[in-house]
This record gives sequence, C-alpha cells and structure tokens, in this order.
Amino acid sequence: MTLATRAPADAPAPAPAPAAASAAAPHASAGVAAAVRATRRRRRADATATTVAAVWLAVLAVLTLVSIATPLLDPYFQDFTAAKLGPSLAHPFGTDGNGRDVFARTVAGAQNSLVVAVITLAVGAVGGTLIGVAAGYFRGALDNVIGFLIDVVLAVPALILIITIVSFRGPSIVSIGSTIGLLMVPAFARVTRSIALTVRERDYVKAALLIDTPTPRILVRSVLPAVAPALVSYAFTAMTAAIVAEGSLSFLGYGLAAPAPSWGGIIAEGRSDLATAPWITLAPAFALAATVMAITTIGERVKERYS
Amino acid sequence: MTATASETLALEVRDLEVNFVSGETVTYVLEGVSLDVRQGEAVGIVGESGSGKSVFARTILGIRPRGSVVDIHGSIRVAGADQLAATDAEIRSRAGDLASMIYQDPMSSLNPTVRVWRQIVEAITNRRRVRRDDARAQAVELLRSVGVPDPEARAMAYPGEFSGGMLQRVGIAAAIASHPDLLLADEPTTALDVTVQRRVLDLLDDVRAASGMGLVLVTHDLGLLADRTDRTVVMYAGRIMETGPTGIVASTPAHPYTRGLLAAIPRLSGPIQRELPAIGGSLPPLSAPRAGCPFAARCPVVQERCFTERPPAVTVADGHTAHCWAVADDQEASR
Amino acid sequence: MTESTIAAEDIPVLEVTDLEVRFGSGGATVYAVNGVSLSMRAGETLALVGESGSGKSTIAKAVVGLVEPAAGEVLLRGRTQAAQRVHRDKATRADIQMVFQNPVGSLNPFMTVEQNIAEPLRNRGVGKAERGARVRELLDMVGLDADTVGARRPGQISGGQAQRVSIARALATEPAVLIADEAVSALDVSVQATVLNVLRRIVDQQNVAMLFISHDLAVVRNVSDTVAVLHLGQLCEIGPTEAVLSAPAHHYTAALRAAVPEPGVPLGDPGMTDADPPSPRIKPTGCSFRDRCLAATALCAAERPALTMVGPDRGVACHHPLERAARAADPVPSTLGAPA
Ligand SMILES: Nc1ncnc2c1ncn2[C@@H]1O[C@H](COP(=O)(O)OP(=O)(O)OP(=O)(O)O)[C@@H](O)[C@H]1O
Ligand SMILES: Nc1ncnc2c1ncn2[C@@H]1O[C@H](COP(=O)(O)OP(=O)(O)OP(=O)(O)O)[C@@H](O)[C@H]1O
Ligand SMILES: [Mg+2]
Ligand SMILES: [Mg+2]
Repeated sequence: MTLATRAPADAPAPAPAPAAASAAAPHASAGVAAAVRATRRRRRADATATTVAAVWLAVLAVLTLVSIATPLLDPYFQDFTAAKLGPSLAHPFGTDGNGRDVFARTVAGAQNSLVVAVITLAVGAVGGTLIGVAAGYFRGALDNVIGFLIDVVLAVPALILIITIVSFRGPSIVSIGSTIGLLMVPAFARVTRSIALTVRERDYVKAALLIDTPTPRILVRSVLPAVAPALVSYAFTAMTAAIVAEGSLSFLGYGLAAPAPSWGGIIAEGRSDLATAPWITLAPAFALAATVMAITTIGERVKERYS
Repeated sequence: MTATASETLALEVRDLEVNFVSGETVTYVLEGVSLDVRQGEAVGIVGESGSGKSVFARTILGIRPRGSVVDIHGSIRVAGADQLAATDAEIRSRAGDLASMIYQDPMSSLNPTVRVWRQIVEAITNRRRVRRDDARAQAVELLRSVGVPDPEARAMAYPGEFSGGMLQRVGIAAAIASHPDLLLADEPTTALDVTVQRRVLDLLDDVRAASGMGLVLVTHDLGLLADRTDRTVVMYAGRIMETGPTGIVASTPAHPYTRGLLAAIPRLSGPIQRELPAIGGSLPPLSAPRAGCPFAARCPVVQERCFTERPPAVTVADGHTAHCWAVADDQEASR
Repeated sequence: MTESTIAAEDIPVLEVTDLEVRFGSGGATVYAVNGVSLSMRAGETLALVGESGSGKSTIAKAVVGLVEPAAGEVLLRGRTQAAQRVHRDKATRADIQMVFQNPVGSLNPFMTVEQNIAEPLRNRGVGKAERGARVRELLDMVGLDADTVGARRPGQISGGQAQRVSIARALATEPAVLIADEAVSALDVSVQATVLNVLRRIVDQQNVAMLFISHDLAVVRNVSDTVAVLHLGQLCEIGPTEAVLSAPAHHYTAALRAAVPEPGVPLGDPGMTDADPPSPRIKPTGCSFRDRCLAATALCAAERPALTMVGPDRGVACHHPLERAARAADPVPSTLGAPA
C-alpha cells in the first residue's frame, strides 16, 4: 500500500492505533508560525526601505522649502574668490566654477527637476492612460483616430518639437515639463491600451455589463486596476527618464534658462571640471540617484498594494 | 500495489502539508497527504469542491499563488526529482519536462492576445530552438489529436475565438506537447461533452500506455473514473478519506463521505430525483487545523471521538484504506 | 395570435426565433448558430445540451445581448428585445441574468466575494446596509459561509466556490430568466446536488424560467422539463426530457446518451463513426451530423432536415429518425451498480 495520511511529525511510523493518530491534531503550528514570522520580517524590511526613501524625499522637500523661504541657501550668490572649493563646513558640497554653493544649487535643482518630472508624469501618464484605456476599451473608430494621432506625435522628431515649443513659450518649467510629457503620451497609451484590450475580453467585464455596471465604474473597478501595476512600474521609469531628459535639454541649452539650476543642468555644468572639482557633478548626481531609488522603492510598495 | 524498489515512481508525495499565509490569516489547506503514482498508472482524485485538489496539483507542479506566502511541509518527488528543494528557476526550466498540468480553468491559463499554436508549443520552444514552421505543424497535429475540427485554421486563432470546450482541448494539447513523466489533469473534461470527453480520455490513455506517463486525474465525475483510473483517492478538507482500487471504492465504499458522494450522483435511469440527495452542511472552515475528522459535523455515523481524535488509517482490504472511526470499529468487531 | 387573446401565464417568458449568429467574415466566418428557435415559460427549465462548440454559450450570449445575431429575434414576455444589450430597456435588462461558463474568470478579481455579489444591487441603487444583508442571504442560499469566503478575492477560492458565488450574483436582482451556462460543471457531485436543489427551489418558488446549459445528461435529466439537443448550431431534437433521453429519436442524441460514463456501467458502443466533426467555418449544408451518423444516406448530404413534430412537444430534425420501437429496444443501460 502506497498511500497514507500524515503521521504525527514526531512519530516515526504511521500507527493505526487511535492514540498515536490523535496526537497529530495540533501539527505544524511551528511551521506556520515561522511563515507568519517570515512575512512579518519581509514586511519589516520593506517598511525600513520605504521609511528611508520617504525620509530622503522629506529632507529634499524641507530643504527646498528652506531655500524658497529663507536666504540661507541662495543658489545664485557668486563669490569668484571662492571658486571650485572642495567640500567644507561653509560649503558642504563645495563650490562651482563661479563660486556658487553646490549644496544650495543642488537643493534648488531638486525643486526644478522634480517639478518638471511631476508635470511630465501628470501629462504623460494621465493623458496616456486616458487615451490608451479609451482606445483599448472602446476600440472601433476611436481606437483608429487615437492610433493615428499617436503615429503623428511619434513621427515628429522630438528635439524639433521641443525646440519649437520652448522657443514659442519660453523655457519655463511648465512648458518643458508638459512638452516632455506630451512626448511620453504615446508610450503610456501603448502600455495601457494593450492591457485594456485584453481586459475587455475577460469574462468579468462581460459579467459587469450584464449586471448593468455603468461604463465609468467598469473602467475604474475593472480596467484601471488591471492596468495599474504596469502603469505604476512604467510611471517610475518615466519619472527617471523625465529627470534625465530635462538634464539633457539643459545641457543642450534648451532647458531652464542659464542660471536657474536643475540637476541635469548642474551635472552638465560640472562636466568640464570633473577632473579638478568632481564634487560639482557628484553632489547633484548623488541626489538624482538617491531620489530615483527612493521613488522606485515607494513605487514598489504601491505596486505591491495593487497586486 | 507497492512499487518495486528499482522503479522510479512518477510521483511520490509524503506527508504533504500546505498552508497559505497572507498577513495574519492562515489557511490550512492540505493536512498530511501522501500519494504514490507509478509510471503508467492513473490515479483519480475526487472530493468536495474546495478540499484542496487543485492546490495539491499546483503544489506538485511548483506553482505558488501570488499574494500569499505558502508554507509547505513534507516531500514531493516527480520522477525522482525533488520538487520542493528546486529553485524557481529550476522549476521553470524543467516546466513541462517532468510534470505538466491541464488546468481546471483554461480561459484564465491562456493569454488572450497570443495565438493558440504558440501557447501549445511554448513548453517545447522555451527550451529548444525549433523552426517556426515545425513548431506550428506540431501544434496543428496536437490540436487534431485532441479533436479540434479544422486544426490548421484554429491554430492561428486567439483563445477568445474558441468555445469553452475547445479551449480545454487547447490546454490538453499544450500539456502533452512536451511528453512529461507526470500529467496532472485538473478536471480536464468538465467543459467537454461526453463524446469529446471520451475521445480526449482515450488520447490520454494512449499517451500513458505509449510513454509510461503517470496520470493524476482530478475530477468530480465518478462515472468517468471507473473506466480511466487504476486507483481512486477521496479527499475531504485537505485530507485523504479513502483510497483503493477504483472499482472497489465505487462499488463498496467504506467511508461515509464516499457513500454520500456516490449517492449524490444524478442518475440517467431510475426515478427522476427532483431533490437530489445532497450531503447536508458544508466544508469546515480551513482557517484552523481540523481536530479529529473533518467530516464529523456532516457524518451520518458520527461518534463523540470523531470531533477530537484523528481517525486512523484502517485497511479494509488489500490496497483499500479508509480513515474513519466507524470503519475501525467494524474492523474490530469482525476480527 | 395577439397578446390579448392569451392569458398572461401562457405567453412564453423567453422566446428565441430563428436565431443565427456568425463570427468574423469572409473565408474566416464561423457559423456558430444556424436557425434555432426556443421558447420557455415561467417556472420551466429548458436544458440545452450538445457538443462542445455547438453554439450553446453563443445562444446564451445572444439572449442576454452580448453578441449580436445575424438574424432572428429574442423576445421577453412577447416583446422583441434589441439585439445589443445597451439598446435594451433598462428595466428588462435585469430580468435576464446569466451565470458564465468560466466561474473564476467571470468574477472581478479586484473585488472581494462580497463586493462581487453586491455589485448588481449597488448598480440598482440598493443601500449599503441592505446590500450587506442581502449578500449574506445569497451566500447562504448557495451554501457558502459569508464569514469564511466573503472577504476573499476570486483567486483565493476554489473553482466550485467561485461557481456558487457567480450563481449568487446572478440571483441578486431576482431575474425572470436565469441562464446557467455549465453552472454546475465545476462542482463535485455533493455540492452539485446542493446547488441544483437551490436552483430548483428558485425556479419553483420565484417562478423563474431557467435555460440550463450542460453537457451532463444525468444532471439534465434530473433538473429540466424540456431538453433541446444542439449540434453545430442547429437543433437536432427537442422535447420532454425524460421522453427524449429514454428514447432518443435523433442519432446524435442516441450517441450522446450512449457515451455517458456511469459508475459500474461499462462504456457501450459509441453509436457513431469517429470522423471529425465538420468545421464550423463551412456554411452548413444537409445534416451536420451525417459524417458521423451510422444511418446517413445521400439525402442527408443533399438536404437539411427540418425540425418536424413527431409527437406532442416533440420535434426532431432527421431524415431517418429512430423509430419508437427501435428506440425502446436500444441497449440503453437501465441498471446501475448502485453503491452497497
Ligand atoms: N491563495 C489562496 N489563499 C487562501 N486560500 C486559498 C488560496 N487558494 C485556494 N485557497 C483555499 O484552499 C482551498 C482548496 O482550494 P482548491 O482550489 O484546491 O479546491 P479544489 O479541491 O480544487 O476545489 P474545486 O473542486 O472546487 O476546484 C479552498 O478552500 C480555497 O478557498
Ligand atoms: N468571439 C468569437 N469569435 C470567433 N468564433 C467564436 C467566438 N465565440 C465563439 N466562437 C465559435 O463559435 C462556435 C460556438 O461557440 P460556443 O462558445 O457557443 O460553443 P458551446 O456550445 O458553448 O461549447 P462549449 O460546450 O465548449 O462551451 C465555436 O466554434 C466557437 O469557436
Ligand atoms: Mg479545483
Ligand atoms: Mg460554452
């Protein structure tokens, strides 16, 4: 006979004697406790990472407020006698070629870079999702029209579009952010459309139609949650891309106007002095990397909550 | 019934215990299940809906649900290879090779945006480079063998264009494409009408005879087991209640749960039953380990100790075992 | 026949006339349903049986307005319903509800079991407290415990539990017509018995008309009053369940009947050739079963047999129907290896 139900873990052989068998009742509680502990431990590790990420973003926010509200951190104050100084108490991140405080500029850069990134996301993710979900869920003529518009956007060379818009509307945070955002709409639309296309074929959406669920509610309760994980993970990638894109634009001279700091801009400025004064580049680069990681960590948590 | 020492078992499960932990809640799904399947043998699993048959099959395959932590004890060997010690990567790399599965719910296990032929040969093309045309031809052949009409055209279709039963056949084709040592069929024919069901099961029989594949057939159709399996396992609330040669379990069931199950089968002859003889009550909650016998609350021959003491495995006849206090008493009396 | 001359109870609740459904176009057209007429009265259960792919689910979807028929009409209480669901009258939409064939997939994975069942109530503006109570009641009706499964998501319950949840959801709005597409095929026999008893009670007490789609003849025999046998989108045979199953007139019905596995009864002669069923992509000509039929003649290839009445309420679409005498002499197993 090759079959038997579980014998008590501590008894060597399956004994048909009732007494031995009944000893099996509270089995495996140790294993379960371990598993519960493992989940708790994983959660605690996740929570620590999330806390660190949140603290970093909070510090950035506080410093930004300080730089806006007080003259303590002035990113424009130049002192040519103190150019390219290494990190010290007075200048924690040193000074740049014009004798400006790199710490102050990095903090001010955070403000500009993040606002650009947020505007980019707002335009790209919200616009792209609306368009993609609508195209994927409603299909038909709407899908065709949207597909055509997306192709048009993709056909226009990105740089030319940016240069045109920036030269018409000036290199403001809003115009740069919304232009990069516009360029991200097609990518967001594609990601969300393909998911919406499969979701509309799912039986639970058909079942929702049968019980007269209003279309907006179907979109919110059935389609969006299905789109969300992909959307969220893509959004964080897009946010990083936006920060980098803004930096590249600044480098090319189409970013924020000259003295106004942004991380990308400061990195670009410091590139020529990389050998002699690496702190000019490293400080904003570190800030950028830490911010990207913080955003990603928080993104992971958000994603987890969805799935 | 015991396998010879030299033979590798297609499946060897020992004292398998599976608990799902999500947050603070624990679901105790399987409580010490052991099962051996020899090469070329077909074992049927029947049992109450929700008693862990699919979890059992999925655990053997190494599929863990998302969102819950799975706590597993015991051991699982498929064709001699330890499934529990294997890493996720190992499981994935040998997916389909050692064991493959026909899913209960074909629509959810297929990608609606990928043509079916690709999904059928996925297990093969994932590991080896196969020419596109060869792969497709193979998929068409498999579709034909599971009785899909017009397989050339159907291979190019998307899952949404198939009827429920035809999707199920796509799943079957995908599962046998890689010639596994063990096939786990989770209600493979529930969506099929009897004439197609017969054909599909004939096909599984043929594959089994030709390749020595072990088959675990999860079903609730007890009529079907009779012709298709050597042994039957009756499961209830994560435990094995009774096991034995299929013919014997069906004709002389020992466990009261098995008897209730057999009585509930709707009949094609005899008087029409407007009210079918259901077993009153429902499955105990799986939120705690079951004390005693899980069927006690619904059992017509229940005794006091059934609620507190776990019933022993009673050998009724050679290879026929039931876990029941009442059966134990009978056995005692007749001795 | 005008409505006024017929007493209200005599009007069929649901009527389907000459329904035709096609998918795709050109060379890729699938002829899923080819001229099917059905009619159901309140409190009546009509079973639709037939091969996989024969168009059972498609008929169901056309009835609820999820697929648009190429021809034919769906009538609810004598009134023609728009082909598309969105164009139907809101008040009558809730009157036809359906349990999908795929139980887990038809429940919203982002909602809990309770939320899923509450959804139709919510859509009708039922208040929160009332919804909660009704959901418990519905779960209880299908034999599930609200405290155990209520807060779980569809991915965390078994197939059979999901099936019962979707039945509960379909019943939430007390429909006049319930379409159960393989509603018990995922259940083990004892839960199946419970659910069938539930459905039976609902049909009897709430006077619901039930279209019961199944391929399990034994189940069909015990729940339905009338059975319609479908083959490749056409009706082969229709009539009182017991009469059709005990003495099939169509060769396909007889083959179906012979293929049912039963405990203790060895499988008999299949009663048909093992030719492939014809492709649904070819516009059907003649009798769709002729390739597999043992009694097929040239006539069967040339001409599509019309559904002709062979008795009261009994129709068969066959050029060479099984005679009553021959039917009675059919080696249909009558004894069962009933458990000791
Ligand atoms: N991810 C999960 N988290 C918690 N509980 C789960 C999870 N998946 C399954 N369960 C529970 O485990 C039990 C066993 O489920 P399983 O799907 O194996 O049942 P089954 O025997 O296959 O039933 P059926 O015949 O209805 O398919 C059920 O009670 C189910 O609710
Ligand atoms: N959206 C679709 N596009 C193309 N073909 C389809 C579509 N839906 C169904 N079909 C085809 O229509 C035919 C009838 O399908 P239907 O789902 O109605 O079958 P069924 O009788 O319910 O079968 P089963 O018992 O397997 O569920 C099948 O050939 C199927 O492949
Ligand atoms: Mg299952
Ligand atoms: Mg169907």
